[in-house]
Amino acid sequence: MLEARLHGRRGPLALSFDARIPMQGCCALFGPSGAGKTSILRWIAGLEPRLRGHLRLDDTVMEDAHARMPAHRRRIGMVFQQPGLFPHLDVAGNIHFAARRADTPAAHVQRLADLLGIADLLALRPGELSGGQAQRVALARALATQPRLLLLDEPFANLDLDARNEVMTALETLQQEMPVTTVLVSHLPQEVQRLADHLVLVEAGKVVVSDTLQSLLVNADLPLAHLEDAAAVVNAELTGSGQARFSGGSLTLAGPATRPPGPVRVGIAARDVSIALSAATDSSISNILPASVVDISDDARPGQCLVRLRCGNDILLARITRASCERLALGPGRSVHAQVKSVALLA
Amino acid sequence: MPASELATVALTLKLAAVTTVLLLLLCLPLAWWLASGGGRWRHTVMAVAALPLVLPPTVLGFYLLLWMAPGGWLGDLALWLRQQSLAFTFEGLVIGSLVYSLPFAVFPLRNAFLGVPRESLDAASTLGAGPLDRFFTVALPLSRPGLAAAAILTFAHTVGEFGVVLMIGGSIPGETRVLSIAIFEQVEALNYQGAHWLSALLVLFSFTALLLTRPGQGEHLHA
Repeated sequence: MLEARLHGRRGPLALSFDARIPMQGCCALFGPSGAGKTSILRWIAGLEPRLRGHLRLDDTVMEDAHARMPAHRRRIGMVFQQPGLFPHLDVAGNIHFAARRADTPAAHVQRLADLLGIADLLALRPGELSGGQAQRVALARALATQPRLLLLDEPFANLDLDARNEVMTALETLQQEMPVTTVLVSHLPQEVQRLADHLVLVEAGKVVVSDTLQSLLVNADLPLAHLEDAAAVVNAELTGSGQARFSGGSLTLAGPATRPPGPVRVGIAARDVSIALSAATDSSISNILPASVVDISDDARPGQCLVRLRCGNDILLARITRASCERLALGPGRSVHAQVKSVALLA
Repeated sequence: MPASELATVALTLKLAAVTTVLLLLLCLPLAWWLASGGGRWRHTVMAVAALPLVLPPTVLGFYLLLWMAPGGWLGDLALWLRQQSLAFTFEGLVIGSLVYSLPFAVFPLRNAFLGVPRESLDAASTLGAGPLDRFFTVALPLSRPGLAAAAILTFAHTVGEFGVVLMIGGSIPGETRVLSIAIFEQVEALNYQGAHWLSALLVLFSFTALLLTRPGQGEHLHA
């Protein structure tokens, strides 16, 4: 468990942060720009000596009222918006800088380089790398210290779409092969839906709520469920025949399977789910799942409402018009069929 | 060139070399402190370090002479340590040059340190590098162009020193008679031929030094 409590000022912003973050998977600090997420992350890393709070990582107290462990002793890795690679060293030198200070075995470093696909870049200078390559090297360098915790401060912010995808894929590969607890700062729902397991919503320096990604994405009281791209995320098992099996049934993926069978994360956007009272057999939509209505709330868009559906153990979101909702006489507990137009393989 | 002039050139180079080495050693920590915040004394220290830029060398020389002569605190300290005062000695000249050339070492170094990217230093911290480690393995290598500029400027400026030397060193051949003093004496003696030789030498040297510190040293970063 990572326990972080911070009360202080950073410029005009009053920080009042208090969160307990599980030490597994990826936790996202999510919120609008200027909410203080980066300051909090830098404080956790030990890079904001002027901010003092309580920080405990499992059994290690890193900061309290009496003492403060400096950044270089915390064994907390960090990747910044800018890769911050050392321009006077080549890629190998950059990674060695980290490995040497943590006595990381060469085999471990080699494995990192292979996983992140940078083994061919080792002799290059940072100036010769593309944005995505530089960020992958920065990741390898941070992990070469074998950190207890990895902090990612909007690491995709300065990348174009392709490079962003490249780095996210690298991160996912890494999480599968060499799991390390990660705290990600992001203001983009797509990044969070794809990478996070746990979510801490931050606004104006304060924690709004902290819970699993799945539950917060479908919480109608939070802004996430009302975004244009609002989506439920479910954990599924990809079969050899291109089906994603989850607690509520089986989803057929469009197009040929691009991934080997195994656990996957599937995103189902609220706008891609419609509701029928009977299982239509004459519909173009092939993914039809039995579900029951949990509740109905007003959507941020006029004339629309957000229906939460229980599908097995998972909750899906459906955004439909208020008129349809009344025509179907939907209400809590009503058994329906969720028609899912498209699903996205996230990870 | 006569032997006496060769000795003068050699002494000048020796003075400049000793001053440059000592001043760089002194100014590396000072400039780093100034660049990384420096606390509440920063502005005072910066102003003091810049004083030699604006004060007439005669003023510097005058105070240095008072301090170095017997009865002055530096002079008495030297007397106690080695039974000899500092005024009109090579060691005295070195101390004078340290003061005189201080800004030419401190400010290029400070600017170089200010140019070290914040992310590189932060990254180094999270990678396990402590403050000294960061200084030697990140800040210093990334400041090499500034370090070179500081060295060249300090050296050249010390070679061109005149007023302070005149005040505290006099003109003792082999001990305190440096190039600028020799030129002054040649002119005083109406020996324009000799003055020409030495002056041309200084012009050539200074020009070369400035050429070496040309702006746009960014390319050295990746050298």
